Amino acid sequence: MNESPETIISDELRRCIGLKGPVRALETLSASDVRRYVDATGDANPLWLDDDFARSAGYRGRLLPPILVGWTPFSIKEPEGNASSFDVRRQLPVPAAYTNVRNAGSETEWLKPVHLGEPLACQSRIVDITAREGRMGVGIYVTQVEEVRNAEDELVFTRRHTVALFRERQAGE
Amino acid sequence: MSDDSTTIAEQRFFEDVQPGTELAAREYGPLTVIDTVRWAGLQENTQQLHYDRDWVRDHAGLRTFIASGAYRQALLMRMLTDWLGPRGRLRKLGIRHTYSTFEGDTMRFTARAVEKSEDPADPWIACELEGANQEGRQILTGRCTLVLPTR
Repeated sequence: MNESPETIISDELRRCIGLKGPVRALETLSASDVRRYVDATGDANPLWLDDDFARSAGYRGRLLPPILVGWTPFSIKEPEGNASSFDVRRQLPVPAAYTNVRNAGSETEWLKPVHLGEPLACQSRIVDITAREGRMGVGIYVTQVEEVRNAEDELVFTRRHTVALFRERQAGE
Repeated sequence: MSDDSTTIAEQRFFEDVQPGTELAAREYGPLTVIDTVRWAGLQENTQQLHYDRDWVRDHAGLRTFIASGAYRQALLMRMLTDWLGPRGRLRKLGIRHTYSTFEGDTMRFTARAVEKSEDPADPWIACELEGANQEGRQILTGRCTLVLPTR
């Protein structure tokens, strides 16, 4: 294996910095999605579950838990390299063995509360691609920015998110 | 999850928080396959890294499965939104994952106010965040901005 941080990023991959996906409507999350979120996290905050409680706090109805805002298109498992995906990261021409994906970090801003059932649309773009060597070997670090807007075209959410792609080992390696 | 208490009943106010104020700390875990499978189902992410012990040993070189970063972030955010109370709001969150959470590990999150808005019309506080496992090893670090109501 002669992979190194200096050679792993091809010119074709480097040219993808700046690649922007289309604006796509997000699947609207339901009360059932929120219930499954509560089951998974124990976060039974009445702001997510009780319209009357949320109204008493000044909102027009229950809110979407912040982590659920804008996340659907980026978490649904899609095949790597799916050219029709609207997550532009999955379209990148990374080396085929680099399927071990790790969450390296993110910076998120919620600009407005989002209510359950609100229609949202999202657009993402690739802003950086770098490589470095760590304890897991050479990693390709892809940073993308996602922006989510509501029906009034107001920006409600932005996220700058970095994933690290590592070479997947074969059994016995 | 060992902590199922949601403590949103109390409302925090901007005037009550100063740089140096320690926000409520929370500990979650030990991490089980039930936790990670529930999260994988919610996220529709069937990556074996998060539940398949044999696969992660053979293909990822790890001793057992690990929690997804989004799951840890969700638990950290739960701590913050519980602390904020119903009229507070999480505005910004930056997280850097520094070490994995393995099956059996706990996650202890803490937050400390480090900066406060000087403009009462925009009442925010900035906090430093830290996560550690049962051995005290850091698992994540971060910073957030919280908006609180004024009295």
